[in-house]
Amino acid sequence: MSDFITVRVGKLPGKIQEIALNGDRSVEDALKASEIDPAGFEVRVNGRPATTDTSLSDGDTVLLVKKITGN
Amino acid sequence: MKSYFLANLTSIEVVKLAENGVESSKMSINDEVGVVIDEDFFEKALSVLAKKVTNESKTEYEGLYRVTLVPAVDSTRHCVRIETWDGENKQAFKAIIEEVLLPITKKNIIVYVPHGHSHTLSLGENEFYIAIWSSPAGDRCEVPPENLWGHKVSCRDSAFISTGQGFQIVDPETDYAVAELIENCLYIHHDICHHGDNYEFAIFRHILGAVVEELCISPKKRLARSLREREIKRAAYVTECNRGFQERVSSLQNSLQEIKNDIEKYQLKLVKAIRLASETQVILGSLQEKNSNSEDKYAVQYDELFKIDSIRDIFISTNIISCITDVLFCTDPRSGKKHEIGAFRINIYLDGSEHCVRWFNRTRRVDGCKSGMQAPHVFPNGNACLGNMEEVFPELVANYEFTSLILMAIQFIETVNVNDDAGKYIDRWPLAKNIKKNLRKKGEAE
Repeated sequence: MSDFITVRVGKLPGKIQEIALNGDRSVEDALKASEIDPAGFEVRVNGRPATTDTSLSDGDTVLLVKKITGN
Repeated sequence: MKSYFLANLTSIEVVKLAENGVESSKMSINDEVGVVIDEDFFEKALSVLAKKVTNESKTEYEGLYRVTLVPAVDSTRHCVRIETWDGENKQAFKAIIEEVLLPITKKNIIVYVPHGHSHTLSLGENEFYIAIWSSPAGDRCEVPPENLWGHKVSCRDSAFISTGQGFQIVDPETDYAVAELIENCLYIHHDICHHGDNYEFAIFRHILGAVVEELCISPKKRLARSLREREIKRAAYVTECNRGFQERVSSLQNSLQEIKNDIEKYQLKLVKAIRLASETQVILGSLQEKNSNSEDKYAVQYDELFKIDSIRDIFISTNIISCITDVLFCTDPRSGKKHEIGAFRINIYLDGSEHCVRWFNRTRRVDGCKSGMQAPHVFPNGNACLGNMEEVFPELVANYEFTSLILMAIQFIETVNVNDDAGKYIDRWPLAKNIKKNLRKKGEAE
């Protein structure tokens, strides 16, 4: 677990940033490192539904998408 | 902000996007797999994929739109046509245009080779034009660099320069404007098709690649680029102006220092001049004081000259007072014997020339330290070895002290220093007692 991994993180719509992680490598770690608050967003890892506990691998993309809600 | 969801792209298309610098991320919506692309990359993505949007709809996610794509152009409907050509490998150039540019322009591309002449293309909205070795205006006045994008420039004939009307395609290494894109016309400034070799193909591909990039750039990015370029030019302007200003400041500082040095130099000269003027004033005052009633004084002085025993006559001519003496004698201190030196004409030079005084022996010349000496210390030409008297005579002349001067000139003949190389020969002049009978009396003609 000593090697770095690189993942891409971002909210849609918006820019995707690339970050490096070491040690713990969950979605939550990636969001903390990116200073992105996931509250109210769905998490996707490589396009598939995921949670903040989901483990990440090198090259993964974490996207946060917000569902449109009615009035 | 918007992002676009592109469903059902092939893996080849996804790779193609990545290879062309289009950022995309995998995404699935309702079991439909695809990629999301930020709006900044969307136009370029369409270009890369050669597709166009036929339908756009909202997804269930905020800011995320689903788009349906279809091929943007049926490439069989557009073609590359070589209208005029002057070069080699026409078909290879045509193939490169078909491969790189045709899918992007979505227009027929017409190629001209004006071959070193300016050429204004007739614009048609549905066509794209390429003019090789040409420009819409101007003459060829620049030699292209030896290399462009690292490839040799095979034909080194002179090239056009950009008109500045359009987008310049510049080689980053040399800053040379290789081509200019003016609306839907591409002007390539040098003869890129002369040899039709691989170097020319490579450069041609670079040019067309730059055209593709320019045609595909989003308005937002174009604006950002324009602002960035303006900022760079602004910085260069500031740097250049500041450099010029600093050079001017530096130059003025140097000039100021030189002027200050001059002031100091001239101050020193001024002080010296003031002192000299002051001293001259004192001398002038002294002289004027001494010589007040100068005519009377000189008349008295003239009379006094005749009171000197040895003087027989005085002659005046311009700048010269000639004094005729009796025979002058001098005693050799070694023997105590008196020698007859001779009667003299002593010339006083009022302008200070000829060392002020010259002596001419009217009685005889004797071989002393030199042949034909006038006196022991007076050389054949009348000049004397004055010794310690050297400064006295000029001072007396300067002060118009002629009586003193003549007395001293006579005394100079009547005195000898036998310790010097001239004076030691005094014993060669005849003894006074032996020639007494030959003495001429005062008043005799010379």
